Amino acid sequence: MSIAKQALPTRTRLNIAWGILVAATGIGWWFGHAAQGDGAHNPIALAGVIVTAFFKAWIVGVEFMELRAAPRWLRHGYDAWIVAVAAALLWISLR
Amino acid sequence: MTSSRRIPGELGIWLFVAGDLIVFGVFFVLIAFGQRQSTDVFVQSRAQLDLWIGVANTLLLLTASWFVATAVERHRQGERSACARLITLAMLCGAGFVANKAVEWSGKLQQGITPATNEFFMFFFVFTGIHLLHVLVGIGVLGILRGVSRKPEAGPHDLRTLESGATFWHLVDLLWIVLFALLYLL
Amino acid sequence: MNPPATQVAPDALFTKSLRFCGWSGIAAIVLFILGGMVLGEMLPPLLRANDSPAEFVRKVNEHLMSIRIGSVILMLSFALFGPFGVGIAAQTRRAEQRPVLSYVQLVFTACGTMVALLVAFTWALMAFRPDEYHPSTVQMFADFAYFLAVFSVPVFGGWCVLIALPILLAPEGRTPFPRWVAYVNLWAVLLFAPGQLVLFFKDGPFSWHGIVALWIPFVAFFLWILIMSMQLLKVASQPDPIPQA
Repeated sequence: MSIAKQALPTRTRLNIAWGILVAATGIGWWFGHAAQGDGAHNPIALAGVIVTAFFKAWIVGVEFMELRAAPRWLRHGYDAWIVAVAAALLWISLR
Repeated sequence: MTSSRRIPGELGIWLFVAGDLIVFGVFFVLIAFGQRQSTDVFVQSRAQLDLWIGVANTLLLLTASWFVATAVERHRQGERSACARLITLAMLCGAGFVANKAVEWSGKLQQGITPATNEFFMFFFVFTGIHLLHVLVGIGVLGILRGVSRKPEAGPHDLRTLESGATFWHLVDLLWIVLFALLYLL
Repeated sequence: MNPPATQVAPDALFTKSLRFCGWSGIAAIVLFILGGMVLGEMLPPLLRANDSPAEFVRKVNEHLMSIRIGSVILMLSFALFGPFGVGIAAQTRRAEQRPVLSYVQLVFTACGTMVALLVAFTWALMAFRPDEYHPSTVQMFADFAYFLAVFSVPVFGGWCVLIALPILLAPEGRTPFPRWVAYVNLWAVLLFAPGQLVLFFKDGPFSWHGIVALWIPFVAFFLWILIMSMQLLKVASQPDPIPQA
């Protein structure tokens, strides 16, 4: 997917990113709806909300903040934050 | 064409971003701990939030980020007036976020819900409040960026300023994305 | 008007003074660790905002001598904020042709140093005669000290903003410190900001004994002093980045 995206002009990539973000907002809401219906004890719903949120944050970083074209250490540093915080939240919420 | 990799904006803004991400990471962990320890309080309190205001705010910031990213791209292609217009639209989205927040908070306060009500609302008001400060600063930064793109003559560091300011704005957006999920959706 | 860069003689007094200012900052950190952390019981906080007044008196009495000695050392630490801060202003001033921002920065340096000195004063007073004061007075001295330290965000935050501004606005080739230092200062402002919340909470992370309102601002503050002190020492040890007066 990343190779195909690299070939696209920037404007198109930004539009697609926005579309993905809006759709992901809906998906996150759906997970949350499921979570709240069950009194927040549904692990799949909890995980879904957290993972969706950090996926969205990742898209903002890679596409809007232009980390796609940034030096690798910067890009990987951001990836590391995304993974570390998401993992921490998942562990706290689900253990 | 292989793009030579360069830091968007300048190193310093990314130091700031990294710092902010660490601090908010701590905030997110605190919320998750609170949720874990006082699940019932959190669930009941969360039910009193207006989800649609949260969703609207998320969409406003996402769209504002799109405006800002597109504005920077336009500027790179020499369309400085288009850049300025897009930044103005982003600022309007930001203003909409602030107005929304005011409506939401005043509604809560009128219902007698304050940061002292319980642990959930303490986190809710304090963390969305700190984020709101970021939004206000972000709108100010966007104003500076608009000024840069409207200068009669382009300067040698315009792109650096624009990219750095845009990076800060996107940071504001992504922090809200996670805050929204943890406070409204979980 | 200005002699060409290559003909300006190196200013030995400036270099030495700046080095003194940089070391002042480092000394301030070491003295704080000794006086505020090891002896003074300020950090980690011995006292809590939701302790009863009687509890305050009891705890202070238990650690009376170490708090008193710690307070004296704290005085020294905080007094060194003066030279530390002035060193920074002396360098940022050189990037301005008709300095204004550096003068504002100096005022914030003075205010910050004064506020910090009052922290040490108050901490000492708290341990002066805790059995004779009304217990809520002992409690108030502790409140006073912590409020001075963390509720003063506009002072310390303003100080950092006024370091960042002359750096970011400096013309090309005349930056007093590297640009990333300006951003670190702005980040410091963000980290100090939650201290303003101590007025609204007596327990939890936003109280004056809490993670967010006490630990984060204090750790950030002394890290900031460390970074700025090292920058001062770096300027003092390298060929002059700003050759003109």
